Amino acid sequence: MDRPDLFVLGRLLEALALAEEPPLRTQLQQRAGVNYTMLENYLEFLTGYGLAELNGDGRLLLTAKGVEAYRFLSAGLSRIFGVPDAGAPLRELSRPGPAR
Amino acid sequence: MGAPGPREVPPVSTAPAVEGPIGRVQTQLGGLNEGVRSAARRSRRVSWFAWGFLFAGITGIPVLEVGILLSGLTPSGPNAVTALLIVGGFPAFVLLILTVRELLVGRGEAGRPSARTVGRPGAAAEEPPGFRVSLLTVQESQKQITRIRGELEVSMIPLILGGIGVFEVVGDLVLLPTVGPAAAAISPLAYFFLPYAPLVFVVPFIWYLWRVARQWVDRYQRGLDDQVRQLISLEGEFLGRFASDRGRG
Repeated sequence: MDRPDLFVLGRLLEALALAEEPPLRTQLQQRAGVNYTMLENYLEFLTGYGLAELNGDGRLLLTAKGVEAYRFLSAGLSRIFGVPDAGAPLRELSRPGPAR
Repeated sequence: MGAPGPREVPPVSTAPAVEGPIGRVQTQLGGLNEGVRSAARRSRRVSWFAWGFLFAGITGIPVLEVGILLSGLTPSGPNAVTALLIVGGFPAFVLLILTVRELLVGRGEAGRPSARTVGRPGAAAEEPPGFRVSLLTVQESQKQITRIRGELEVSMIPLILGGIGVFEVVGDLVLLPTVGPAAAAISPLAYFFLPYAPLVFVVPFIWYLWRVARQWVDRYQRGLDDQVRQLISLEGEFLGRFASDRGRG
């Protein structure tokens, strides 16, 4: 992938960050609103740069770097567009796993 | 959402998409286009009303003159003045009020360019725009606002000309018959200057309208310029920090 789309990355990171439990690929695809090809490309990107990883059940998890990336992007976009960011719940921080 | 506690069994989610800060930003961006389109519509209306005001002012003057000739009225009678002003000046007055209203509403909306569509039913269901599309949307909006600026500035011309005409008529019909005789006792030149005396009100009035129009456009332009600059900077910073080869692995 030449240059990833910031908003697609943001939607994927957000879908992972706000998920009640680590989603499967299809669940992530639905929640982020991306098509299958795009999902595959971006998953390769996310896992390649250590932002997300697949567990043994085929579910996707944000890594600590992924959480940091989501926070950075969420705070940045919220600041630019004046959208409140304070209430953004990051449930994965309380979840045992790679995010910690 | 409270503080993180022990994990509960999550309910089955039926939500098709997450709506965190990034989702909300994208919903808001979807509204930006509509906000700018609304500004363009208002600016077009300002232009029509302003030229209509000039036209109504120009046609109002002959109506007043013909009214005087046909009815044999003299502008000296208070009832005659009222009747003539209503007949001749009403359309221009209404159009001027509409122009001012559009300018004020446009300026008010500029403070919240996307407020009209945030929370609009169905907005979240639309395909959210990508970063490039969003950036293009903002840049396209900048061009639209520049065009609106030009349109509003041109609209000031009929407002000035119409304002001169209307105020001059007011001077003719109101000041001349009422203050004229007394002023002529002081100086015979009063009959020449009195009709033009109300013109001094045109300058501050048009200046006020021009200021409202500038504030309207400036609010949009400042916001959009900042957004474009910050979006480009955020993208570079994000990719450099989280997606550079250094950070791989």
